[in-house]
Amino acid sequence: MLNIINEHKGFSRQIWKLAVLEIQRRFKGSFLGSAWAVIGPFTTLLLFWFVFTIGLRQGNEIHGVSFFLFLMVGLVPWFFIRDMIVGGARAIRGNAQFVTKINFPVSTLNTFTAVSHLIVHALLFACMYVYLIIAGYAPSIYNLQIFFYLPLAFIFFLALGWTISTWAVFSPDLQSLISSLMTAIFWLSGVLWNSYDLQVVWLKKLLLFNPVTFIVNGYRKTFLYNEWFWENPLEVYVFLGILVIVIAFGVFNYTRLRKDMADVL
Amino acid sequence: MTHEKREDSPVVISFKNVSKEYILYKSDQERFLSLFYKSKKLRRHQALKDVSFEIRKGEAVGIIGRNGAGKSTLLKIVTGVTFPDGGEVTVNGKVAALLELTAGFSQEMTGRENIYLKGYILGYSKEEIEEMEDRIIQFAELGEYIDQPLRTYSSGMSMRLGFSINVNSNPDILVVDEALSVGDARFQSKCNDKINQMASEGVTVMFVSHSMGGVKALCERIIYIKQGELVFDGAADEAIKVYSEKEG
Repeated sequence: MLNIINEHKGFSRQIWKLAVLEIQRRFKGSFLGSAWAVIGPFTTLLLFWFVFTIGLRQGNEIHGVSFFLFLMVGLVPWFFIRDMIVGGARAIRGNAQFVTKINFPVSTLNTFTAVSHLIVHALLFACMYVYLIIAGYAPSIYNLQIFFYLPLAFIFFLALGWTISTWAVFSPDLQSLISSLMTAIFWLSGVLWNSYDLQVVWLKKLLLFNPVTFIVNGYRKTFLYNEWFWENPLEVYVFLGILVIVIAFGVFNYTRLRKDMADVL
Repeated sequence: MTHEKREDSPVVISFKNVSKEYILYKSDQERFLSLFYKSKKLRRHQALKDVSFEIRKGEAVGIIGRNGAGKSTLLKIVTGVTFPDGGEVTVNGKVAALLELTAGFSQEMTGRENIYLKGYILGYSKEEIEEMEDRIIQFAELGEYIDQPLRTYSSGMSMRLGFSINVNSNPDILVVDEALSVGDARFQSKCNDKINQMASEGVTVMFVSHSMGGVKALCERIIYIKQGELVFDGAADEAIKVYSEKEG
């Protein structure tokens, strides 16, 4: 842990700059530029809404909230989570030259790619919030819980990245594995349906251990259902427990493999 | 600077019994499995064996040896890219490596933006980069191209920019690979002059080369390594004598 914190010392400005540059680099050369960061997710949202509401005629209200809003508030954190996982796996291998060519605090690669995803999320989030205000769901005191759920999500998936990005250095298979798992994670985590309405008890219990479900549900509590996170303490404890494990495992893998990275990349 | 004076200068690079081993993976599967378990049966290559030396501030030291002798590994350890398996390495001061000049550049960004990008990567603040910016641009001789994206540059132009950033960032230690060629002959000689000038200004220089002439011109001390082992460390003339005896 100290290892990683030390690498970040005096590097906070650089991380911010590099995150901004990372976004610029991702979108530079295209006419619409960073607008793509919003257009892509927006298209997906419309697509799902169309398929479920008009195609499958399943777009009923969910506990008094329109399916469109339910979907939107679930997809916005999902896009962030997806970027954090997929981008997290790529963070080191995709920036191999920082490892093999120059002396660079490698763990900050994870941090600045994560921050770049956070900036994109902030943009999407702002769009979502404006819509919620127009729809009459915001502002509300419950919205403050974003300062609970978002930092947790950020730390969780950053720490997960310490493991998957270092493993991906040793084997590109991991990246392929993650890309193919993403679709499954998406459909199984309750982004498109309400995990609290599940009838199957063991499955409902199992989803307690899914951090994606925790974050997505958290966003819905914060913006749609006006619930406090402490009303369901069990799921918070389980999430925090998993978080501790993920951090410990991430630090373990990062410190163990740091010195070999330059030799295998 | 005289030799006596140097002996009082502080040690900036110190290697104590440094060893480095590379694992040679036979297949991707083997590399993947090594994530979980490092078999004793893996083939290993000893790149450096028990190497010890000290370099003092202001010295210009040449490193000679044949291909695969361990020169690059040694430089990579000094620049902090790779790590030794055994022994102790201390490096005091800011290292500029003229090894991978274009590492960290973004093709989509302009030359000027890349100066900042590279500066941040090397750990400089915005103010420090602003202070260096003019010197870098002037030295690189890119003219109005400085505000064009890097993908429009020729490879020589990118190298010039990379070289310029590295030498104009006020390093304490300069690590140079002579095999490096930056642009045309004229610019190359400008680079050599710059390296000489920095060496005379008290910047510590580590200079790797195959050609004895180049090393001798710059360095009064030479370290000669063969198959990962330090064979000779001392006065340049003597080192070259030993080298030509051993390598024939």
